Parts: sequence; structure tokens; C-alpha cells
Amino acid sequence: MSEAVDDQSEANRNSEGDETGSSPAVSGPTAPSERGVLGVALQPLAKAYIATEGISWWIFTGIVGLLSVAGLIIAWINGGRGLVLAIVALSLLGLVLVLVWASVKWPKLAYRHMRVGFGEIGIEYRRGVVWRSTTIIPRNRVQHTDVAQGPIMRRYGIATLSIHTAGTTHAKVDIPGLPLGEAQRIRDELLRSHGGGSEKGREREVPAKPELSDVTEPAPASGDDE
Amino acid sequence: MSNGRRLHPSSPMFDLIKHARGLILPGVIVIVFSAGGTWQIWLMALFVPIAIAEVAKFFIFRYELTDEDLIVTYSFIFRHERHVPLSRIQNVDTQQNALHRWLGVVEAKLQTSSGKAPEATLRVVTLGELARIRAAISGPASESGVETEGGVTSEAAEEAEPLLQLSSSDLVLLGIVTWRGLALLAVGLGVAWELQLFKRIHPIQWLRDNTELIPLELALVGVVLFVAGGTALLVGASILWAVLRFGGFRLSREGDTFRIHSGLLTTIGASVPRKRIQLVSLKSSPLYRLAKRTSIRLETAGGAQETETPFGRRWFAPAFDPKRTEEFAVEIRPGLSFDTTNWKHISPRGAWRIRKKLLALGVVLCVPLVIFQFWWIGGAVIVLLGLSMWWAGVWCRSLRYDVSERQVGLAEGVVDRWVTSVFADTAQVVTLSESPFDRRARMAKVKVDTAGALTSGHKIAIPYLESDEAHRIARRIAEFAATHEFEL
Repeated sequence: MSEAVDDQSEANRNSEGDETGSSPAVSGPTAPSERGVLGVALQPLAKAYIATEGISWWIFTGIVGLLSVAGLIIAWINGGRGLVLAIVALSLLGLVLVLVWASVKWPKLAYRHMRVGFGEIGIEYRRGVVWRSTTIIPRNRVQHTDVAQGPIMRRYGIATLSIHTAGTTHAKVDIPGLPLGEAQRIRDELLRSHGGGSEKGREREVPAKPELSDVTEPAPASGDDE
Repeated sequence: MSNGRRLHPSSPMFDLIKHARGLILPGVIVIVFSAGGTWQIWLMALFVPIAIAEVAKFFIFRYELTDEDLIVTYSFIFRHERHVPLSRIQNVDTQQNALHRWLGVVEAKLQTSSGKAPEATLRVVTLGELARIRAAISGPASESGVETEGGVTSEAAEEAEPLLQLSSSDLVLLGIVTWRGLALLAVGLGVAWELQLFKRIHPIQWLRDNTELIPLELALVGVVLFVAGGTALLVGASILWAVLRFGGFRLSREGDTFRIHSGLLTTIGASVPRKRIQLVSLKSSPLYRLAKRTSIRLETAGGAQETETPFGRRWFAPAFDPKRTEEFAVEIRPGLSFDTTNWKHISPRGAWRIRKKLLALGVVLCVPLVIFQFWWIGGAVIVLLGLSMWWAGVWCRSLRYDVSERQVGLAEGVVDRWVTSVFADTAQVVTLSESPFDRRARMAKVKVDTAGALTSGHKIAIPYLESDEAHRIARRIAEFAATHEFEL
């Protein structure tokens, strides 16, 4: 209930000033927008992010589950019995069940609370479910940018935009879940205005698959920028 | 690079001394104080290949100054060649101990604005060579090469009046607050451990066995004298360390660069370009206030790690009269001010939130104590909680902040008092964070990230702000940063 109130208050918050941001970083057919701290429109990330994050969670859960079973089998073979083994087995089962729940629920929860906006002053990135943070990077503080795709993201046509600054705690700010074309466009825009750009983590261009992304416009063709 | 120069012929010796401290010394201590061989002795064997490598490095290491670059080359199997543009070199830090001075050489570290390690370390070169390097970096119009009595080449003839020189009382104060004498205690405990003294001597058991011979009062006096003597020894050692480290301390400004010289036996020369200063903190502890002193620390971008050259960062202005605070502020940055008179306080609800947390903690702690009838512990917990609640109010009242077009400032602290400022052109990333309790109370925290931040330093992190105020502040800081370019 309090979370719904929080979301409503966030949606209603209007910052001071009349900043008109650049075109939204991500677009969706029914993507709700809200105004951020800088007054720029904040958009949700690509919905494919939920799938990619979910797959990562499931992989992790699977590994933990396999290791738990293997450990219990080894303990059983070595004569482990009784109350201690039962407690350990129940604990591991509980852990795996929690991870299963997280694999199902957490990506959706995290997605609901992720927003990004690109404006004249800078980039605003909001994330966090329990502990929430809004990170604001002035445009003229961007040192350089990276666009990276892992194999799972590549499958769904999304990428992570990494923004490097001269800061210490926030020397690198990762914004995952952007359609690849969108990430490249933003990178190029930041490169033109203040930062540099590079791409790593992929071998070739992969256009976003229409059936998997939420981009309503065709992804622009782009070449290597190295 | 056709013909580069070699370092001074004594260079291998200084490199060997550096490695000997880490490898030979522990082994020698173990041999002298220990009954049997341990792994520290075998560690000494590593010194042999390292010694060979250091001597070989002397023959393969070359450096050369061209019109534009400092070129450093060393090749053994792989050839390494590093070009450091002279225009990028921002400071040359030097170090000279008694052996350096006797041989007329100095260790120099050349730093640019990027990275955490010096771009080139020349261990060692002659003083004349250092002057030549400095002249090449500064440009032909500012040739410098004055050799002082202390042996370290400096631009003494062109230096302005020093901003700060430490008095004897300042050195005593620094000795006490840094407590370096504890290192002596650690060494003593280590030696006692190796000699297995703790197995042979049990002071308390000895006292118990000999109470018939020694009256209790005398034993107590002996214990008190022992503790007092030990404390005096530690304090004396700390002061001695401060005298050796900070003796002759001199802070001056030449144009846009601050220069620091410090040390009696080992002389350190450090420089801090103004434009690299990212954050300035004014700090005073209770001892400092008692001695009517305060100190300034800096965080700078680029250059060596703070642990390598704390001068110019933690020890920028180690101790000075608080009446000179605004004078130092203007020297560091025109327009900078530590005057917090008109700064705003955080939300008054902040103290109440802290007290609620303490109350909840108190209930959680006291319930089991009451159940198990540990009355006196429960009473102590209640008294402590009461004091903590009072302290929460005092601490929250000490928190003040200011956001202007020039700087973002935060004043904080009751025991140790801090006033920290970040400038509009050095603020990097602004973060607005909310814990679940913040959200419930409609509050938030604003943090400002800078380049070269130290983990132990004071940061701009303003807690317990009303949500709207936090949004407003975060936006203002971002706007000011967006209108001021960041340069190094």
C-alpha cells in the first residue's frame, strides 16, 4: 500500500523549471512518463530487461541448487545423517526457494522502479526497490561512454550503457535495459556534446528483434564508431 | 630514443634499501629475537633475485628530456617506452633523507592529472638534474636551480612569503593527535611475542605469588607508575615522530601551485596545483580546539595515492590559528568561505527519527534483560539510550549546509568538527538516496561525488532533508555543475 502511495507521489512530482529534455531514451507503446529531479521526462527501460534479468537470476538459482544437491549427496555418502544434515538440507531448500521467488518476482519489481531520462542538463537514472537512488550526471561531466551487450542481452536486443565520469564512487554508472539502437544513439549524442564513446563486449551489430523489444520505431542503422 | 640518461650510480643502493626494509628487516628481527627458524628467514632469500633485478634495472633504465616530452625507457625482454608530455606534468614531488643529502641526490616523482600512480619515478638523480627537469617542465623562461642548504633544489628565490610554518607547540600537538608512538608499542608487543615473554612472565600471577613480600599499596603504585611511564614513553615517541616528520614544515603558494616542504631527516617536497583541488575540509578535534588550532585537508584529483604522499592532502595545513581560516580559504580558492553563520539546518524531524530508532533499539535490548532480571544491565542500557537521544539532538543541530553557485558546503560534528566544501566545477555526480524509512518520513539524502575522493575523508552527504528540499538541492547542484566545466 505504502509502495503504491510512493509510486503515485513519484508520478505526481513536478520539478521546478521548464526543462525540455531531448527525445525520450526509451519508448514503449504505453510507457508512463513522470518528471524527474531535473524536470526531464523519465521513461521506463525496455521490457525485455525483465526477461534478461530473470534469466540471470534463474541461472544463479540453478547453480546454487545444483551445488546444494551435490553437497548434500556428498555429505550423505560420507556418512552424514541425523538432525544436523536435516537442518542443513532444510536451510538449503529454503535458500533455493527464496532464490526461485526472487527469480520470478525480483526482475519485475526492479523494472517497476527503474527510470531514465536524458535532458539538457544531464542524465537522470533512478533505480532501487527497497533502497532507492536517483543518480544525476551533468552532461559536461561525462568522460566517455561504453555500450556493452552480454549474450543474453544480445538475444533480446538490449544493451547496457556505461557512463564514465571523473568521480570516485560513481566513476562508472551502468544503465542496463536500453534497446541497442537507443543506447548507441545516446552514446553518440553524448560523444558529440561532451564525452567519448566506445563499444565493447560484442562482436557484431545485432539489430533489435521487433518481437522482443518495445521500440516502436525501427532501430536506426549504425556503424562502428571506433 | 637514441641516447637517454641513466639514473645516478647510487640508484641501485636506494632501491635495495627499499626492498631490504620489507624483506631483510623482519628476518633479522626474527633471527635476533627468536629461538628457532621461521618463514620470515626464508623470505630473506627473496632479496637475492630482487637485488640482481634492481642492479640490472639500473643498466636498462633510461630517461630523456626532449622539447615536448619526458621519455622513460626500460627494456629487458619486453621494451617499455613511456612518453609523458611535459605540459601534462603537474607536479614534481621529491624526497630526501640523510643518505640522499650526503650523496647530493634526490628521489623525484613526476605526476600528471590522470591515474593514481606517478607517471615517472626517478630514484635517484642529482640536484642539478632535478633542476634541469623542473626547468624543462616549467618552460625556458622560468629556469630554476637554486640549491638550498637543505639540499633539495627549490625555487626558493621566487617563493612568496610562506603561508604557514609550524611552531614547536604545533609539532607537539601533531605528535599527540597522530599517536605514532603506538607503532612503538606494536613493535614492542611483536618482539615480546617472538621472545615468548608472555609464556614466561605473568605479571598478575607474579603479583599473586608475591603479595606476601610486596604490600598491595606498593604494588598498585608500581602498576600506576608503569602505566604512566609507558604512556609518557608513547607520547614522547609520538612527539619525536612529529618533530622528524613535520620539522621545518613550510607551506607557500607560487602562482597557482602550493608547495610544501617538510621533514628534518627525510625532507619531503610536494606540490598541489590549485586546479586539482576537488574538495576542502576544515577539521578541528577537541585537542585542536584546546590548543586553539584548526587544520585543513584537501582532496585532489590525479597523482599518487594519498598514502604515498599525504602532504598536500591530509597534511595540507596541519595546524594553524583559526583566525586565519578565511585567509587560507581565499588562498585555496577565491570566493571560498568557511563561514557557516548563514547556512541552513537540516529538517528538525531528523533528530526525532534518530530518537525513534534508538527507542526501538532500547525496547529490543531491554525486554530480554527484564525477562531474565538483569536489572542493572537494563538500567545501564536505559541511561545510555537517554544519553544517545540527547546526543542525537546535539548532532543534528550541528548539521548545516549551503548550496550556492560557487560551492556546496556541509558543516557537521560535535566532537570532531568538519566544514567541507566542494566547488561547482569539481562536483561530479549528484545522488539522491532514500531508505525505506526516508520514504516513509518523506525525506532523502543528497550526496556529491568528486574526483580523487579519499575513503577516510569527510564527504558532502546531507541527510535528513525534506524530500522537496532534497530534490531542489540536487537539481541546483546539477545545474551549477552543468554551467561550470570540469578541467584538470
